[in-house]
Amino acid sequence: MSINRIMENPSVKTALSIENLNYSYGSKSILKDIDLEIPSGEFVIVLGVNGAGKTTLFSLISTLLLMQKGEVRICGHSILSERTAALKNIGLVFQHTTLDMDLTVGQNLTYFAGLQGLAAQDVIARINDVVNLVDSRDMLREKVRRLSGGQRRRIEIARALISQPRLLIMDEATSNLDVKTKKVLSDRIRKLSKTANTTILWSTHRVEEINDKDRVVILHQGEIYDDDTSEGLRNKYGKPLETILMDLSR
Amino acid sequence: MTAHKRAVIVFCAICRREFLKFSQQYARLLSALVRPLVWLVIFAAGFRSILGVSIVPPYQTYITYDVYVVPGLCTMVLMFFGMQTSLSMVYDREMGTMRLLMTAPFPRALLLLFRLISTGLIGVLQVYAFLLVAMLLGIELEILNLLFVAPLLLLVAILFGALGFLLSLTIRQLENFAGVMNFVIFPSFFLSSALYPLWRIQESSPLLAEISYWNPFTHAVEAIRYQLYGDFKTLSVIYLVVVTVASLLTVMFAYAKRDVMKIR
Repeated sequence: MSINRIMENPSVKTALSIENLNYSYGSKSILKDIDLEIPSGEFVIVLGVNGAGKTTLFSLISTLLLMQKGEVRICGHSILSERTAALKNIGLVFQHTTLDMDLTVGQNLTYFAGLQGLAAQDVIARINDVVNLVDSRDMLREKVRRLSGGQRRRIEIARALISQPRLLIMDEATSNLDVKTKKVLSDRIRKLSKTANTTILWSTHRVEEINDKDRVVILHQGEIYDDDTSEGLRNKYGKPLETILMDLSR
Repeated sequence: MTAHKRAVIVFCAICRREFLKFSQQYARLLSALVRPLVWLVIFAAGFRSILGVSIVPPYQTYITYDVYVVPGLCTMVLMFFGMQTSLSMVYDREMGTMRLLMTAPFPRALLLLFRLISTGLIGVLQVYAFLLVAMLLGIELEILNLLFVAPLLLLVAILFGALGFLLSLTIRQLENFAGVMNFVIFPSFFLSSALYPLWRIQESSPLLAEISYWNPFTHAVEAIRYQLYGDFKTLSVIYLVVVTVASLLTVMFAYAKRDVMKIR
């Protein structure tokens, strides 16, 4: 869904709204004038080569980096003035693992549920739901240290879903996964955006993770290069996404 | 859900994680016990005949050197624990778990305070473990005083934890930590009344005595010493409260204003 479609239909609620976002490290500009609006329930790919600014963008949205210029709103809440309310609506899967290696999967998930302020009576049911979603129920008593990279990634995705977020942010979330698991998880997460109206913001540099109907935001050198469906981009440029990306990286 | 109830849930989650992690680190508990016991059993035995301690408040009579050093060793346990807390902060930053804490939908300052209190509680338990062994070795302490000293121990644990947090901001890599610890722990320990009364330092160097007097470690030792013998050292407690609040505010401000990504 494009920004124009939202403006035509103001009743559509916006999950994420970014206005004039800029960020720089010293004199080096990392993000420049980013404007992005994502309605509830949409599945959006942020595509860009390494160093395009994807992780910086996600770090600003998740408040890990301090805003320098611009505005970010999550489900209507500004991350500057209503940080707590904004973060209540987010689920995060970071690029690198953030699981506690010394604890079991169950303990990690319980810890996270507590940080989200979930009442004890809800925690077990929620944990069961999310581990079933990623086929990891049998791992609950396993120490994270003993899991493979792919298994850890599945647990991190499960963890991000415990709070039933309205916006799920996944930074290169399917890295370390084998092809089959990647496909299964990707399908389930896409389904979530339809069934639970969860908005998904998925960053990747792998075009094979993108479906024809997915909305793709191409980030290049800190700027939004284009924003359309995968199919639309292919038609517009007359070449596959992979080639568009390769041309940009030259 | 009310804000209070939510705060309790978040605090319990952080506490549970810290206790779970600590329960798996037997070596940490052992080292926390062995370090002060080495001082108590070996060092104090060796210096017992050299360093006579005259009657100094709160003691009502002459005491042996091992009795004198116990409050200082309690403080030492808490200081090492505070520094280990900062080490675990650096570790959490390197392992990424700090990001999880910092993106929780809860005020960041309170998250840090909860973390400090929960690690402080573990530090207090370590002190009690040490005191138990000290009592088995013949140090006489009253049970009631042991109970009343708990809030003070927690205050000191939070203070050292906060100072450790501040220290962790300056450390970029885990490998640099041991060196920094040596520059902090040992001068703080030796420039205090933990091993000898301040008047003894005054005799040899008034300047060092003055520095020792302003050292928060000295006031922590003295406040604990008085409380362990049923007395209350108001000035030291006030000093500790002020330094702790100032350290906490600095930590909270530093974390609120710094990029978590950049702290790495």
